Amino acid sequence: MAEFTEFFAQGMAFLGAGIAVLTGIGPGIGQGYAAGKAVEALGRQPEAESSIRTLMITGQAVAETTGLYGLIVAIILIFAT
Amino acid sequence: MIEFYADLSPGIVSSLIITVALMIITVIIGLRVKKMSVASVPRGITLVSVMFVQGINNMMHDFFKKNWKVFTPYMLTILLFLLFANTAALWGLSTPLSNISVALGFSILAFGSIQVAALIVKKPKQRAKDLMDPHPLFLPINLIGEMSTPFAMGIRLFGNLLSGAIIGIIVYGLSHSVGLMFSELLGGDILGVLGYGFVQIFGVSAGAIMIHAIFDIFFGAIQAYVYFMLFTIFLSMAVSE
Repeated sequence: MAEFTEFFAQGMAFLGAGIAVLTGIGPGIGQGYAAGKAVEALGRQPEAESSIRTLMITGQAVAETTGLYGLIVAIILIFAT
Repeated sequence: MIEFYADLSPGIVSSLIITVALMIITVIIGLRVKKMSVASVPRGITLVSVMFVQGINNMMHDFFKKNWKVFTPYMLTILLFLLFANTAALWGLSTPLSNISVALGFSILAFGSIQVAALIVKKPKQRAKDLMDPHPLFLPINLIGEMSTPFAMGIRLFGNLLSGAIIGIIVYGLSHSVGLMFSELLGGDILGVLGYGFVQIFGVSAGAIMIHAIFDIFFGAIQAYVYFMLFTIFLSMAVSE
């Protein structure tokens, strides 16, 4: 029978932080997809390079948000428990 | 009085410093522009600021069709503050947006200004009709949507700037502790100091080259632009007819 001490809670919080950071998978796939589509658009219309780059970076920065939520949850789990 | 400011957390202190510095700089530039005659050609910092304001004016003209003159100074102020705040680590200040209070303050700012602007530009009756858009049953969902977008904007700023700050702290702290380990390993007086200095120089220069270039200048500027863009889009959607 395991004892539920504060060390147990601390270890579980660290495990939870590790699991929470797995949200990085989603933005990784999404940002890669956006970059691939931007390359396709660039191949189709090379003269629109600057506006394509701006749109891609803005979209990627918005898509990053879900990954950052995971990061914030992990930081809260590590430092606030 | 002075204890109040001394006890504040470093993010809030640097946000106050940036606010005061921007106020002084913009007043000086404004006086310079005001004193210029019509025929004279602006030069230096005056030219840069005039072109910046002109670019923002053109951009806002496309978003807010009718009442762009009301909102442009406000959006310009927010963009200017965020640009200087996100790159504050270059001047040795701690980044204001890596403090949750400042980030949530920006959420509250976005929420309040969108609601007030929508209430003033559209009359309250039309606003209530918009909130119950397809059917009055959708009112709670629409209210949650109104609140969650500004919150997400603030948290996005906070997460990005905090991750940059944490990586900077890790690199600089690691260079310090590895240097201490090195000097203990080498033992002797002058040799230990030399080893510590070598590791410290290596770590700090790596940090100065990579961390500040990527996390302060690049990500900071992009996040300032993204917040500004999203704020503009939501505000123009709220006040459009």
